[in-house]
Amino acid sequence: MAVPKLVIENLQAEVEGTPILKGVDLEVKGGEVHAIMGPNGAGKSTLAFTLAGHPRYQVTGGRVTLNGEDVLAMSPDERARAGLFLAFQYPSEVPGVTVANFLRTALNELRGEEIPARDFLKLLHEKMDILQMDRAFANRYLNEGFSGGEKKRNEMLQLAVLQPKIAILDETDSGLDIDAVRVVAESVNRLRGPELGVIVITHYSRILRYLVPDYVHIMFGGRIVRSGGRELADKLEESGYNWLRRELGLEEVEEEVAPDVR
Amino acid sequence: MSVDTLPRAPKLADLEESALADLSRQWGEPEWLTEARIAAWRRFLELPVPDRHMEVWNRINLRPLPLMEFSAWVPAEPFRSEEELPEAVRRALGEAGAAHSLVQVDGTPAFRRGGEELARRGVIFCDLQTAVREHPDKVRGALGEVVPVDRDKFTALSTALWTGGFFLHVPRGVTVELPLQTVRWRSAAADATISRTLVVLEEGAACTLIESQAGEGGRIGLDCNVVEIILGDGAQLKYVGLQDWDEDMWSFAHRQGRLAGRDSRLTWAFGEFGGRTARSSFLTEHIGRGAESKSVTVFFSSGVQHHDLYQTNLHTGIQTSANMDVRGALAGRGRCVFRGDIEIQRGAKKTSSFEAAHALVLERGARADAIPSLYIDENDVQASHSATTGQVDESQLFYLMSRGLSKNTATKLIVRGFFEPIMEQVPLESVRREFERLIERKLS
Repeated sequence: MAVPKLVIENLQAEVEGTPILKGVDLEVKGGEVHAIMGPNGAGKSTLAFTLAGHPRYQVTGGRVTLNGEDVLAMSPDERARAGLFLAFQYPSEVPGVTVANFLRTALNELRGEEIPARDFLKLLHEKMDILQMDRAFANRYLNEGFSGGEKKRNEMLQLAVLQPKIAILDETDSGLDIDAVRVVAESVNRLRGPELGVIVITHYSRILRYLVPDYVHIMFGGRIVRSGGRELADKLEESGYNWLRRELGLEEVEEEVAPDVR
Repeated sequence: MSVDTLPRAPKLADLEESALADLSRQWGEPEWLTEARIAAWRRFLELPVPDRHMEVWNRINLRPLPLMEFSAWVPAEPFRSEEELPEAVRRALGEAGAAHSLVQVDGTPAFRRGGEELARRGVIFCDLQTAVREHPDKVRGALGEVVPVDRDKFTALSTALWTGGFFLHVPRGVTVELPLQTVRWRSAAADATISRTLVVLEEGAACTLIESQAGEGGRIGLDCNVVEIILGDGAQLKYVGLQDWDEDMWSFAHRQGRLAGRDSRLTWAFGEFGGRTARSSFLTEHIGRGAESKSVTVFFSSGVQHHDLYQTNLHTGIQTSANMDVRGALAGRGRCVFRGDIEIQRGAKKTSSFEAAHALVLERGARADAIPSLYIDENDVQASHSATTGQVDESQLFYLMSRGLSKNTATKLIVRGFFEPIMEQVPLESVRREFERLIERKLS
C-alpha cells in the first residue's frame, strides 16, 4: 500500500463570515506524527473541522489533497472513505444506535462490502482489549451518557477499527486524567506505521510525552507560525506562548494557569 | 347469502333505508340487527361530517372527502388457494405464525387457515356475519355495547353498513398461545370497505390478535372500521393493529376496549404507516379494579399523508393503570396530529396513568403536533404526560458522515435509533420485524 500523503496548501476558511484560517500550509505523510499546538482561538479546531468537511466551515481559498485527490471537493463521507478520520473533541450522542452497530455500519461503508459478524466482533473485541474497554461498552448507545473519558476512548476505538490513512485528533487529551491520556496515547502509538499519518491537535504538551511527535507546529491567528521538532513543545511547556507573541510582535496576554479545563 | 353474491351497492347518497332493510334480511340477519342498522343509518344521515369546529377533529381536513359518493361494498371473489393471495397478504400470513388466520377482501371473507384445534377448545373466531348467524346469542348484547352508535358520523356508518369485520370469543379460562390473525385486503376494484369487529374474552381468557390492513390502491377509497373489545375478570388481550393502506385511502378507525373485569389487561400495539388521510383512535375504559393497559404506537408519515391519532385512557375504577407511548417519524410533507387524553374520574383512586409522545421530523415540509391533555377529578392519583418534537441533528449527521456513512445511511441509522426504545416495547417479535420493515420502506 502506498504511503499516504496529505498536503494542505494556503488553506483559508471562515465560519459564518468570520475568517479563521488565513493560509495554512502543512504536509503529513504516513508514519509521521505532527502536533499542532496553539492558544485558544488560534484556529486549531477550525482546521480539523475544515479538513473533515463540516458544513459550517466555508473554505475560501487554498488546496487540500490526499494522495493527489482533491479533498475539498469531497463530502464528509467521501473524505472518510478516502481515508481521513477526525477524532472529535465533543462527539455527538446518537440515541438508540449501539457502538457496535454504528462501527459495523461504518466499516461496511468504508469497505464497500459486508463484513461477516464473527470477523467484526473479533476485530472489535481485539481493539477494545487494547483500549482496556469493557466489552459491554459495545452495546451501549453511541456516546449517550458517556463520561468524558469514555467518549475519548470511543473515538480511539473508532480510529483503531476503521484504520484510516490520516487521523486528526482534536484535543483528544482534553478533560482526561493522566492515566487516560496515557491509554489514549499508547493506543495511537500501536497504530503508528507507514500506513497512518497523525495530526495531534492539543493545547498542552502533556499528551506529547507519551505520543511523541516527529514535528511540532504552532498555530497563531489562523496560520502555522513556527514548525520544529519536539523541542518546540518543550519550550511551550516551559515558557508558554508569550515569547512567541513577542517574536511575532503581538501584545502579551496573561496566560491561563489552570491546565486543561473546559 | 354473502356480499359477494350481491350486485354493487348504490352510492351512499342514493341508498334508501328500505333497501338497507331488505339487504339485512337477505343476509339472514335477525330483526334486532336490522333495526340497529336502520337506527344507525338515520343517525349517520343526521350527524355532520366532523369539521374544524369539533375539537377532536379540528386538525384534520375532511372537506375533500367525497363521503356520499362511495358505494358501501363491491362484490369480491374469494381466493381458491394460498397461491392466489396477493403477495402482501401471503407475507402477513407467513410472518405472524398464527394459529388461525382470516383474510377478507373488500369486506368479503376470502381465505382462512388453521383454527380446527381452537374450535375444539370453544374459541370462536370467524367473520362477524357468520357469527351473527351461528352464534347470535353471543353477538347480541355485546355488539354495539362498547362504542355508542353516534360517537361520530363514522361509528354510525360502521354500525349501519358493516359487511366486513370479525368476531372473536374466547371462553373462560382458555389461553390461546399462538396469535390469531386477521388481514383486510383492499383490491383495486374496491370503493368503500365498512367493517365491524367484536372481541370478547371471558374471565381468565388470554390471547393475541393481530389485525392488518393493506391494499392495492390506484383509486381513492374509504375504510371505516370499528373494533369493540370486552374483557372479563383477569382476561388478557394483546391487540396489534397494523395499518398499511395504500396512499389513496381515507381511513377512519376507532377501537374501544372495555376493561370491565377486575385485573383485566389490554396491550395495544399500533403501526400507522399507510393511507392518505388516516384517523385512528382508541379509547380504553379502565373500569374493573386493577385493570391495566399499555399502548405502543409507531407511525411514519411521508409524502402528503396525514395521520390523525386520538388516544384516550379513561379511568373510572380503583387502582387502574395505563401507559401510552407514541413515537413516529415524518418525512416529505407528512403530517401527524397526536392527541392523547388521560381522563381520571372521581372515585378512581390510586390510578396511575402516563403518556409520552415523541416525533422526529426529517424534512422541513413535514409537521408533527402533539396535544396531550389531562382531565383529573380525583386526588389520589399519579398522572403525567410528555411530548417532544425533534429534528435530525446536523451535528449528529456530520459525526456519522465523518465515519464514512452516506447522508442517507446516517439518516437511516438515526431514525432506527430513534425508534429503538419503542420497538423494545412492541409485544411480538414478528410484529416488531414488520414495523421495522415498513420503516425501512419509508426510508428507502
